[in-house]
Amino acid sequence: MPRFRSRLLIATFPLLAVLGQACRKDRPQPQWDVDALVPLVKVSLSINDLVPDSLLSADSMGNVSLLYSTELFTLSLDTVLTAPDTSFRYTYALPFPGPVQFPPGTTFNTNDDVTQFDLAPLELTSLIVRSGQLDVVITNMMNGHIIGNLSLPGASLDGAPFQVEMPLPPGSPSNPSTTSASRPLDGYSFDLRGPGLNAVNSLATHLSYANSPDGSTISITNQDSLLATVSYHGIIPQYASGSFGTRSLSIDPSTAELDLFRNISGTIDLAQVDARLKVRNGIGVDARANLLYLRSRNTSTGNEIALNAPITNGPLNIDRAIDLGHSFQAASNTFHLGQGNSNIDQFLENLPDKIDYALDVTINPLGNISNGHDFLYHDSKLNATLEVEIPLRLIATNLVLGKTLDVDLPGSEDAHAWRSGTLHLFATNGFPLSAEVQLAVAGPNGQVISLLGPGGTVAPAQLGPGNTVVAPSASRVDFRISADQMNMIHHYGKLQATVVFNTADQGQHTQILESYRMDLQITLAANYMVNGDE
Amino acid sequence: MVMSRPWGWAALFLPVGACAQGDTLPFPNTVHGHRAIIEVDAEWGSSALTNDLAWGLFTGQRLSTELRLAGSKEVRGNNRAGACFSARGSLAWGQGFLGQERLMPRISMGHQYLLGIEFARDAYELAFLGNAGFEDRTAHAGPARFVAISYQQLGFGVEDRRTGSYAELGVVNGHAFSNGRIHKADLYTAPDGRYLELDLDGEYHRSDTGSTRLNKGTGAAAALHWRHRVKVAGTHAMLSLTATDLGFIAWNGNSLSAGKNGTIRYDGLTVAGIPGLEDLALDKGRVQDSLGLGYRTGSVLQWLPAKLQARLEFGRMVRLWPGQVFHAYSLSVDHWFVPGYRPRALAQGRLFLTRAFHAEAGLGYGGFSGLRAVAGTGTCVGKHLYVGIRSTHFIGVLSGQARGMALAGSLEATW
Repeated sequence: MPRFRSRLLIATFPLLAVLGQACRKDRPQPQWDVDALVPLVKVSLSINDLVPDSLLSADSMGNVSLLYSTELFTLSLDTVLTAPDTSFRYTYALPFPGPVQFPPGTTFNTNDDVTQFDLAPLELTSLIVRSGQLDVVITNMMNGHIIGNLSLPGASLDGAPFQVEMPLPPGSPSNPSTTSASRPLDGYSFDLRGPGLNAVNSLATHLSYANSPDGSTISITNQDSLLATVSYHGIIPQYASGSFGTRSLSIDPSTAELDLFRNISGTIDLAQVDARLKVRNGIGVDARANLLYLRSRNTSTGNEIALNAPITNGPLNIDRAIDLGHSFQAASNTFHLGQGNSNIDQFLENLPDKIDYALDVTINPLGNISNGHDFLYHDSKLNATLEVEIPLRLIATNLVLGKTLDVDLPGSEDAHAWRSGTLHLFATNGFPLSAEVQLAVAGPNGQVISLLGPGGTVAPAQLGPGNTVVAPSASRVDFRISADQMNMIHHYGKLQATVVFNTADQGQHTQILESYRMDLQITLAANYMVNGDE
Repeated sequence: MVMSRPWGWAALFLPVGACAQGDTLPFPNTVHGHRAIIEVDAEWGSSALTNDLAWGLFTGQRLSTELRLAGSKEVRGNNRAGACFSARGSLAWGQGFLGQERLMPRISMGHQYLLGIEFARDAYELAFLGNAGFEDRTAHAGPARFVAISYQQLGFGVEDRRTGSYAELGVVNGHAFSNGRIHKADLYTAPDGRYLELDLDGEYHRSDTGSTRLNKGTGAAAALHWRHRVKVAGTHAMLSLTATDLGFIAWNGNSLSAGKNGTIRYDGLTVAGIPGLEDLALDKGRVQDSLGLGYRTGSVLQWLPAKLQARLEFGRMVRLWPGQVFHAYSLSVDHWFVPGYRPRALAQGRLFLTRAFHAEAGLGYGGFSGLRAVAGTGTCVGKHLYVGIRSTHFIGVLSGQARGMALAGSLEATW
């Protein structure tokens, strides 16, 4: 019977083997190719989909305008006021040989001084510190426990004056003791009029030394001394007032980025352009700016157009801000640019991606007309913004819009289901522009690797009187994708889409309306490998 | 061609060694102490699809265009296909049960995978050639039915020692299933693929796809086997009636269901503006949801694919040893309640070349396919072991152009 059982086991083994094979989950999936004809995606585009909503406005007639602003330059606090780190030394020694005996608790020196900050040409009478620090270091050469006391009668926080008391261990001329202390100055209000309230940039300072009440009588000669160093570090004003003087600030030539025309090239003729240079002054000083130049620069073409306008031909007088007590009200000055007083249309038709500028600014050009009431807050700044309003009434000639699209198709370069085929683009165009569309496989840096032919042109809508659209037009554009190109798309994962726009009427400007739409549908006739992504 | 070596079919089943199908078992009609049976059955058949195509699908090959086009010429208006793989073992033992000496306790366990499908010609064209050929036409992909199910059983019962009749009740572990019934599926492909319009009436269910658990459903099943000695033309014969897989599986609450009765028009995913185009992801779930075919989850109750069989064995009787008796002829009729399966009839004769070794041959019709040849052989090993191997679709084992194949084996021990 045991022999029989072993035969039974041997015969059973193959059964288990085939069971295991049948249950394998990693069996390869069969593959075959099918010819698929499927709609992929549809989208309806209006001007709001082509340009961010924040840049568009429309009037009651639906005429669309482009509103764009870019900041040209900013003068901030550190341009006007910088409080340098400053140290002051105070020394005490007997003016005669001595010795002199001081019993415990005796104050043997008091020193009232005025700390004079070097802030010229600013003449400040008041300063509120946003952040900063005061360090005190005292070297003691006296053979006794000394109590040092530093106070700033002109500096207070919530009504309490600033004060530092420091116990100084005994020292000697050959072996002095050194004691240091640091205190934050955040929020302290400095009265910089000095002890007599009639000066500027001046802070009353009081320093005193006493023999410790708990110590013993000390004997001091003229060889013994006390040396105090008081340092102000990292003072950042929250508020400052006084007379800021008359100064000229030179702004180095600089460049502002302009992304309004990014990825666009070609020729555009704008019917109308309105622009404003808005200067906002949050500093309590009068100013006069001289705009040395303002140039639009197209880095793709290398073209530069210098703005020729009153603002580049003469000084810009800028009003001062108003001090509200705990905040300020900025002054705003607006300088208009139009086709009547400038070449702003050519400036923008250059499709700039950068704006170069240089200027200088004079503070208080007329002197101290505020009678010492210039001011600034930490958030005060003087900035200039260029605002552009462009009614989309234009002539576009070969206006090229390029965009690199990241394509994330299922599968990998080696295994992917979509093998080859043709993309069909169906467009119902309600815009008065034609659009020549090209698609290409793009490399890692967006460079064109292989063009998907043939591409084609979406016809413009049919125009009626006044160049307004009376009926949309239907077009079809095909893009063939070979098997090699499909491999490349999977490899690089990028497609470069290029659209060349031309207004239907090249002879006169055409207004873009908010109601214009372009309906797009993409379908695909392709060879698809079932389970090809695995 | 996928199936360049038709004999490759046989290679699939070589590891089986010796297995048997239930309806081919010699009956143990005399007294014995214990009986153990192991059976393995693998079958595939179709009214239209060739073995080459099925083999390519099963083994994960690249199916050539020629192969699929050849299949396209064979499919008709209504087509059937199916496959099964089952492995089952049973043991009856002991000297008596429930106070009856002739009864034995019985235990069995088995695994079953079953696929059955009924499909229209256009469904084949869509699946294997694509919808491009239906541009500006309607493909009638329905009606269709399909089921694929995998489950295991553990049964307990009682067996009559003299006749081999038995009754069994058991628990069922549901591993995976999907089934669908489509009354209508008319797909119109607009020129250039501008839109697809599907007039659909159907439903679909499947087990939890997010789980790797082996148990996704639980159920119960019964099996009955009745054997009775009769006389045919004055000679002894044996009539047997069998019903198996009488039960159900309650699939768990994570099972997925979808249904639709209406028209779906799809002209692409709608995206919002340029950003929508840039972030476009054409995943299957998003498309499915956009068509209103999203799944809902919930428990699903499903009947097991029951199988009924009647078998008459008659003619010369050969008794190998107690428990092993064969008749020279047999007729059987069976039906499996699976889409694509038609009542099947088999007629076969058995020729004893020696007392221990015999060969079988016969004809059959029905099942997943049509006309089929039956061949088999069996032999005794020693005094206790019987090994049989049999094909109810023998030609298909040899030819890739046939439309079905089957191979089964059994190993039976009585002592």
